[in-house]
Amino acid sequence: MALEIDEDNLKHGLLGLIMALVEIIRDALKHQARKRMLGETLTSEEMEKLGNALMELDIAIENIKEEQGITESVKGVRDGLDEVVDSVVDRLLNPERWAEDAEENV
Amino acid sequence: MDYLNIALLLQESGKEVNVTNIKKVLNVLDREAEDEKIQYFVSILSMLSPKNKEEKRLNHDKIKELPVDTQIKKTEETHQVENVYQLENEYQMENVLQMQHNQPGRYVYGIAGKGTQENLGNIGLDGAEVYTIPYKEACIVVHDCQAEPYKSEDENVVKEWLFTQQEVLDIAAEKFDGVLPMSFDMIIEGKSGSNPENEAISWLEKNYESFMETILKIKNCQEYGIQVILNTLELSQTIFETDEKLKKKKEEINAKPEGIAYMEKEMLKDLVKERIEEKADEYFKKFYEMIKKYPDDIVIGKVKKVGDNQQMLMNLSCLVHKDKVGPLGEELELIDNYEGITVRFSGPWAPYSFVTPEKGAINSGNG
Repeated sequence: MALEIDEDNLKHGLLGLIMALVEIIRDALKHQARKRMLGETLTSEEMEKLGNALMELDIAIENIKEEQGITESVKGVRDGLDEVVDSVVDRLLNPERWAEDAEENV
Repeated sequence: MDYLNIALLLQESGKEVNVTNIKKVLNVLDREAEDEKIQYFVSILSMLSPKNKEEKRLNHDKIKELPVDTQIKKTEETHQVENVYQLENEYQMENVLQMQHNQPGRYVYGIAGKGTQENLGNIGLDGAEVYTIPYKEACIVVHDCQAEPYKSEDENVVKEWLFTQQEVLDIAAEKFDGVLPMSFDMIIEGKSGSNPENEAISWLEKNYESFMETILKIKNCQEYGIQVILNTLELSQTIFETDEKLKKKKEEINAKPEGIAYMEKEMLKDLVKERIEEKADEYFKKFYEMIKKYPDDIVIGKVKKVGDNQQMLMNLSCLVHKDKVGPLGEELELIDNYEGITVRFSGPWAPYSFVTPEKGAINSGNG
């Protein structure tokens, strides 16, 4: 099948992909930050700084998504990735899937 | 009536009944040819006979393009023409049907547990004539076709086919107390010119025992889909309202400086998420216990994404006996009354989830 490319589509796709990656990195940062806070290794000043930085990042990401009209395509990329991870985990946890796969490939 | 006579003339002289041929005859008779009428007439005839599928589909599209009022008028005409055609030409119809039985393929809808030969009428894909091929205590529900899979680029055409397939299965299930459904585009071909009917029977013979076993299992049963959906937003609100600890924490956070408040809110979100997961697990166990009393068999499907703030808790396909559909519905109503829970109940379907695919016939999907 031929790929039909129009500029708007391309922009949405590429920007959507990039923002999805930025969001994932942000989520990883948040995860680390929460761990540090729970580990109580941070002073309240550091906590405040960290919280502010992450909040600003959140706002910036939301703004960009809205300005560029890519909220949906970012969501699409992330949902797609979720599905991939889901199926990988599902396969790892359920060895009977391997048998099903093997059967299908015969 | 002119067209009808011309069509008969063409058929008797062994020519194909199509727009061009009818026009030719009209020209010879020095009569005016009205394209639209002829096309419409040909499409009606092709509805009666499943030959010329491609052409029929073309004409069908044409009809759809006509303005609505002409469509109604034409439909009235159709009935007249159809009736007359059937009355006057039953003998000829028989001939046509016999000719069709010479087609090289048999499109298989399913297997039923009754060894009779019956004609179910022109209810198949593109109006094809559906009938049964009996063998021992079973029969194959088929129509005659080319040895090529049904394929179309047009999504609506495919949809139409799928609906028709489901309708045929419904009718067969009603008539024979259940039917073992085959997947779409399952066609048996007569090998190197041999009679496809024999091929179909030998295929049934090979799989006879396993088919009969499944047919016995699905007798008087139909498949129902049950999806239980949890509204996570509604649940998280309830959690905040009922959990004193979380409530207190939320108030504390509001008094803190912005950055810290933000971080703690994030952590609170995690906590709520955990609670929701716990609740979802609890619900799943509870609902499954409630549901499992009714079906003869259950297949647990993968849960799908349904949207923001909505989580699918379970996606079940249930094989339910006719007598148990009512009580199952009542139980589902109870579940539906739980807070934040929506139940989607669909069916009856042909029991696709409870039959294993068989080998030994052409089975090609359409995309």
